[in-house]
Amino acid sequence: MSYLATCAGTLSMLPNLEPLTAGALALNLAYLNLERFRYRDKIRSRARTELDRLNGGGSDNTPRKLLENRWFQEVDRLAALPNHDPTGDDDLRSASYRGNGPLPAGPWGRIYNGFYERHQDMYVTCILTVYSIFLLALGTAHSSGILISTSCWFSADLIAFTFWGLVVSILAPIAFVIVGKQIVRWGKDVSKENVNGLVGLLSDEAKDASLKT
Amino acid sequence: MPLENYREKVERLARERKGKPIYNASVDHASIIIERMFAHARENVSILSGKLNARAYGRDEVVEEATLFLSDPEHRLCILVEEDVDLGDGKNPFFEAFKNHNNVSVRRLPDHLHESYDFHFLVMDGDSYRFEGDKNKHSAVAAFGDVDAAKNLENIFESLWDSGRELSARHQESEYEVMPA
Repeated sequence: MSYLATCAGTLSMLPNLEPLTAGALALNLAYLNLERFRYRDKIRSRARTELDRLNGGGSDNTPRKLLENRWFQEVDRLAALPNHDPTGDDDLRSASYRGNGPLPAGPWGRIYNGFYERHQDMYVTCILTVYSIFLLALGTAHSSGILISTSCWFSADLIAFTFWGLVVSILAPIAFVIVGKQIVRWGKDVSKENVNGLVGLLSDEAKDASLKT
Repeated sequence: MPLENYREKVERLARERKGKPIYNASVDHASIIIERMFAHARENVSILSGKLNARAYGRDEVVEEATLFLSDPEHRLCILVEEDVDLGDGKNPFFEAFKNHNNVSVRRLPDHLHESYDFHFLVMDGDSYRFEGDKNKHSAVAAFGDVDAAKNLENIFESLWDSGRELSARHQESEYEVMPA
């Protein structure tokens, strides 16, 4: 018996997963439709607000010792987070926000750098969207008797793989939103804490001030 | 941060007097902090400055709060300046307002002492201060209720004060005299 004949005789379970597939497609499309750069917009905005506390809203009055401090440079980096916009119109650096410093350390910083900075989240969501569309189309084809030659891929024995794949497809965009929000919170907290730390350093100078002998 | 918000924040910190530092990035900020310091000072205010920048000290709100502070004869304002200032020339509204007050003393530091520090400051009541770590910039940090730092600055001020020459326009409406300390 040929492969085609065997496969065509297998009952496809894929149409049973249609609600899950439609849900995965809807969630991934919704994620793709969210405003782009939203994470970095919010982080940039807070970092700039915090830096404005130090530069008086753009005046070049920030002491050199602050400019050279890593805490300052980290917030400055967040204030000029690039969009990595494919149009290339992406340079958010300016006289006020140079953005040449390092990203703040810590797990959220690493996740941002590794997964959001260059839109890897968007690429993964695109793949999951295509995956959902493919399964939805195939499920419809199976239930209507078209393309029965692929039915055996979704037999009762193998459907669990597809099921869990769809669960991941549903959870992924939700997880990206939750992690993105955590990263935004982290970026805001780091900005505030770093600038408070810098002000604290200056107040320590007042404590340690002395006359030169 | 809009200036009104900044003023509210400074006022809140001044009322709490818990020593939390606040940064001062511009002349506008400086003026607000100085104004609130005079408003909350209970006994004395001491200032080490280049020439008491009129853009920060000469504003109406600052002069008004300083006037209220100095209306109590027990209150005292001591000012150490680095540059020659003419208390009676009317260029600085702050000096103009207080040149004849008995509880205001202004002294000029001799030039050779200017190199012995890089900062300027205002300290009040031994527990609050505004500190410019770089005396060539307006940026500063201020705190209400930070006793350690304020006491340190007060000690520095006292050690410099004795070296200053008194500038006085008291009892002389049109002229002022330079008197040895």
